[in-house]
Amino acid sequence: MNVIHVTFDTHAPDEWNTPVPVEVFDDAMRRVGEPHVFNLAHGGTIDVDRAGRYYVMATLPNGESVGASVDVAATGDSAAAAVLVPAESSPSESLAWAFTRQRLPREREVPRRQVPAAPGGFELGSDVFADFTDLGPVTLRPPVREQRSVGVPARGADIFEVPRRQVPAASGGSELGSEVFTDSTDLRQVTLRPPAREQKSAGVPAPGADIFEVPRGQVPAATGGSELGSEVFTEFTDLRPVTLRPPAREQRSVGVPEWDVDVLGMGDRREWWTLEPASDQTTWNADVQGADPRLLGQLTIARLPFVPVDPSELDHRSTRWYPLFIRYRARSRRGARLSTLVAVPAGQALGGSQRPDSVVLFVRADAVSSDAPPVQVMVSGARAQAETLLSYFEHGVLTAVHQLGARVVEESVALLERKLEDPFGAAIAGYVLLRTAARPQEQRVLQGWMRNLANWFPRIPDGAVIHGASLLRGEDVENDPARVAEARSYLLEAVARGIPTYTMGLRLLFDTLRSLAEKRQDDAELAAALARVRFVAAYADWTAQTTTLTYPYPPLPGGGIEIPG
Amino acid sequence: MRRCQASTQYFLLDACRDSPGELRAAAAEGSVGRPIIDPRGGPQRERNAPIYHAAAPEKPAFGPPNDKSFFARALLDCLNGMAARAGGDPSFFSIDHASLMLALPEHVDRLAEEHELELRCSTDGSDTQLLDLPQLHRARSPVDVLTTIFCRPREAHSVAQLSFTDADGNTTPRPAIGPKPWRVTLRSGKNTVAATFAREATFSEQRTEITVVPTPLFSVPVPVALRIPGGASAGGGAPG
Repeated sequence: MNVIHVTFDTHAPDEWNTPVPVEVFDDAMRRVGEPHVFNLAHGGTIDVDRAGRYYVMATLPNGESVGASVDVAATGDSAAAAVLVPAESSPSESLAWAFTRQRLPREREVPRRQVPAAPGGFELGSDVFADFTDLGPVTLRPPVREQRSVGVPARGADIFEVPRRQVPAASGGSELGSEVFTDSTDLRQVTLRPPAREQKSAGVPAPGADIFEVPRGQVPAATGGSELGSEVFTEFTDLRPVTLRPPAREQRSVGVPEWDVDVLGMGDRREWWTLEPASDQTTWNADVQGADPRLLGQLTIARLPFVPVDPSELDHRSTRWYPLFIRYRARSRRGARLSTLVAVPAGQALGGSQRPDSVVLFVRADAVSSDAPPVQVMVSGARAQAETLLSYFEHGVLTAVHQLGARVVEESVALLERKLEDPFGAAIAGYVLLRTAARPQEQRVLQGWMRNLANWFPRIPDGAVIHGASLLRGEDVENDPARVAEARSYLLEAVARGIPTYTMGLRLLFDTLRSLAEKRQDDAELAAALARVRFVAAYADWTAQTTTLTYPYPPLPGGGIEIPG
Repeated sequence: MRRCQASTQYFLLDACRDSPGELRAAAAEGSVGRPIIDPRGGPQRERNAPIYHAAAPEKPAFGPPNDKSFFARALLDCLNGMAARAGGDPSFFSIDHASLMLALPEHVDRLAEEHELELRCSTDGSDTQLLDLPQLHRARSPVDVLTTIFCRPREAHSVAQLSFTDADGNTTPRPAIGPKPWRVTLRSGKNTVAATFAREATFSEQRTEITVVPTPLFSVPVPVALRIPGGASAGGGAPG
């Protein structure tokens, strides 16, 4: 039986409907047939011509490849089983979306040379632990040069040989080594720990010898952030893996110390953008830190109960779908205060079995510059399939984009027709449609759908962006002033509504307005709209899925958006 | 450049991406940041125009003194075969923009880890419409393949001494035992991966012959069986 049965082991039941392109290669490294597309829940079977060894490979929406070799036997009735397992998988079902659809930063080790020396010892913290967001477990390693100078590093990152004479006395604490470590021969194969007295002085030792909770009050402030370490990490002998955790008190206050996280909504003033505190119900979950050290916390925004909408009640619609902006303020490594706004789909819950709430996951940024926020945010709030499509797009997995794109567009059209609305998923479908279906005829067929998306959800700018941009497509548009005028009015309407929810939309709005403004240089209204969009575009993170803007705090005066202090 | 008739065009701007606050403020006002190509309301013709960034947003791109940047090195390695994907003729493997999009960030990430740098290559594939992928380069077999080796179950991986043996019989052990998947570069073709354990461990030794297929990221799960007292094994043992 020349069949390979492909299944996935991704610990991702929430993601069961995720389509995944699968390829098979034979032992001579030739691809067998065309790529198949299976879903994560059920996998599928692939026929091969002959017995032998094959490599089965799939690409997940987050760009990760998973693969396995299988032997197809010449005899027997059972199919060869290829179980595709990612090297890293979600620690819990509720976080599966972040691991399957998006890409978490890598866990990283902090090189010693990023840690400045302190008088009387090594001061770990002023640079690396610039704020609490860096308080994930890190492995601190002395540089190779220093390892050589003080002895031979033993196996395992947490064991060092430290000659006694190189261990300075710690002020106000024990001198590590004076009793036990009288010479380097005594230091073989031991894990060096600070004595109990010093543990007490520095904080409450948690279960496990290498985990300390450092009370915030005992940590002296450093320029530009919290200085963790001057008490605890006075010596080289402390260069072991440790998990630094903020104390419970501060976890309770905002979830992430040194932050304030709040939820804002777009105000009603259409002349300029105003953000106001939103009243949506939110829940903060810091327990995700325990699931994966890169995760800092999860904010859940409750959605309104799902109610199918009567087509005649447009006002009903307008109040039930809207974007929110999560704002968090944190210090950059250099110590500057930054304010970041992240757009999140909100409003009514989706119908069917979709996740009812919007989820915002705060994670440690994997490449933190001195001037950037040390936090990265992942958002999930639209239909899972639409967000999957967006991820495939970002990672260039075109097989999946084309296969899934058609399905998502079709479903989005059908959902609107059946009054089972998902305007944010539809917006993603619209953006992808504009990107992938370059042929104007295809877009014209869906023009009515795009117009409905723009008109039925007046608090969502994205529909107006999509419809406005689509009207300008095609060779004949230059000769159709009415069409250009309609496009202009929808683009201005988009700007009046607010900031697009998706980064793809912000870029499309900016590019389209710029293009139109070049041709209509005496159009003051268009120029004013472009200026507003340009202001946010300059502060946008173009790699984020939903619109993400980082400003210095307090915001620059005269800056296009009015944000509460 | 839109007048250029070449169907495949590369634009290389290997640059840092950190932008001072003053520059952003100026861009916000519109006094800087004018595009060198006329803005368009989206693509007017079908094309694939992915972007590969030499650094993460707001980050500098790094390079060793008097040498090409890490990004440039990774790009060259990828074009020379590391981003190749197998297809028809096993003597040659194609590199296309989609395979580059998967392999290049991985290679840059490995270089960053090796050199202890905060360096990340981000990609933007949103301006891509064509399902047919034009070949950017063709690499002769064999090629280097970015590979990740890990044991199943994961508990076994943390204690396994992993090694691979190439077609010439050269064996390379994993430098350090630990929980992280072993990221290594293998030569395409036949290799053998072995997982051995300390005597007190409860897992059985596993040797698996594999064919390393040129793909942007090659994954090798090594199925490891639990050792039952008396020498027998339970489960696992199939090729990974």
